[in-house]
Amino acid sequence: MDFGTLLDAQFFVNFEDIILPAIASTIRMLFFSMIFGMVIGIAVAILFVMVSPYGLAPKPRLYKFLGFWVNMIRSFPVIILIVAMSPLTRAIVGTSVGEKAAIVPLTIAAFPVIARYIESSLLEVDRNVILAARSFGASNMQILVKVMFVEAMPSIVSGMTTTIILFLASTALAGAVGAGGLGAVALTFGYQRFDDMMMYCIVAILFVMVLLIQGLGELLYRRVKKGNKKKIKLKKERN
Amino acid sequence: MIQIENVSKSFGELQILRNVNLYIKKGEIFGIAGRSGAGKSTLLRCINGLEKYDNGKISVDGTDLNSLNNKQLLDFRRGIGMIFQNFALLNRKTVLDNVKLPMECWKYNEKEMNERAQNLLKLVGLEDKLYVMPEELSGGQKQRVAIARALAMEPSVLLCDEATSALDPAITQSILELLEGINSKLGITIVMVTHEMSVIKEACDRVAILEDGCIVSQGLVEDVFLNDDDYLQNLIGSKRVYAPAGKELVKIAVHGSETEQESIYRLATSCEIPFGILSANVSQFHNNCYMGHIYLTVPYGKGKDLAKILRTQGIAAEVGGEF
Repeated sequence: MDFGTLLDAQFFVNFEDIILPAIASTIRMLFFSMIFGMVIGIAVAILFVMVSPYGLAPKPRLYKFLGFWVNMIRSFPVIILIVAMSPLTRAIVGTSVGEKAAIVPLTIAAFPVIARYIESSLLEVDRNVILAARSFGASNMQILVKVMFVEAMPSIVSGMTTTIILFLASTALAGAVGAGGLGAVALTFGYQRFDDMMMYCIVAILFVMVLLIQGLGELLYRRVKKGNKKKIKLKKERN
Repeated sequence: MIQIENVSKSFGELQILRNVNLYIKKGEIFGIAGRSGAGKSTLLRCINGLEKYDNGKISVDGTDLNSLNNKQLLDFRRGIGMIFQNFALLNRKTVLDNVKLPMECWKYNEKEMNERAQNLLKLVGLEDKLYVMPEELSGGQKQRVAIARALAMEPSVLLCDEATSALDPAITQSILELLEGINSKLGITIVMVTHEMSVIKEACDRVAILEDGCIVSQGLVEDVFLNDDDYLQNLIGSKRVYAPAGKELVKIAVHGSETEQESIYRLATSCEIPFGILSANVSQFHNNCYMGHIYLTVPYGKGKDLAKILRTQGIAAEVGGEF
């Protein structure tokens, strides 16, 4: 392969006209599907943690029932989910192709994963800390917000980092069924036109994005793990 | 103060508590001793409603636990502090914020919270650690934070679930002293669950021994130790004392009274029976008196006579081949 011929003027045109918008599109898809996924996922996780047999207000049958549906959604490969959900997607956003349309199935695919991650992070919180909170009369909601989420935050952050990276790959996959973004470009140029340069370029971009997300996640994890040192320092100075 | 009547509880087939009856007086330090799995932690958790019981009745300060609805139960728990073996602190909050947490849940204002938390941390001797994270503290310090947190709601009862079991003897001692101080200064009733008899000896006024969910022995700590029944021996895991060949044993109870101190001397000077001291097991109790047992060996058949002489001197003695 001769890089001289590959890196021709056409590539730079492609980069500006095709790759940059595709990056923006992928980021938008990922961002919104993760935001919506987290909103739904956190709500479901709270429900799980309440009714789990090891939870705050155990209702094992309800837990099994909810778990059944969540597991069912999780068993769909994302690409199948996008196709299978297209009628619902059309009903919600008016179309079943494009970036907006991809956000719906990606959200649906993401929330069970997020819910399970958060559930297990929350349930890992030391049982005795929860008992202690009960012993001074904290309500279930207070235990959840003031104790479990506080203590589980580092674990939640690292779980979310993994999830976001997982779903970056899913947005690329969604490109195969009309979602647009980097995945679509890589497939159109690399798979259908045998334009290796474009394909590898996109792989490199995805790789950089993964590194960035992982790096940011780790940074956040370290800050959360340490507790809020800044706040403590400020308080120290005040006293 | 705390009245436990005929309380039973089981998890499925497994019966944890069987007809437990206890009365814990206001202002005392009450010990619940037993081996692991005896049901002592479960019993403790029944007192503040963290565990439900199947039968019987528990009332604290006249409030029947079963008569409370969920909201009343939360309110009721404010009056009962609790500390744990592994301290149960929030690792991501500072010492001060940990102590403030109960007050946050009950919506105190910020100023009051800070003030009270700082006073409590002063009480437990950690006024210089307000903004430190728990992971930077030693075990003893963590338990002190937990004690301060448990006292934040000004409880009338403090439940200690194996509170010193994870600590070394010197630190255990200092935590027990702190608890005794809290008990005498603030008049808080303390219920201590432990498997360490040294803790019971050092800190408790009265004790109940729990075995397989039953209370097998209870009373003043001194009485329970002097009584030295099988349950207590079982719990301590003390080795039995056997008489050497051709001898038998006389077991003397030592109460730490004045007359007793000279009893061995008097015995040696007045009686005709030759005896020796095989073993002694005397230890110091919380009110600084020394109690325990002394095992004497006498020629076979002479034990009864020796015991008779001892009894005339007002000293309890038992005769046997082994104890």
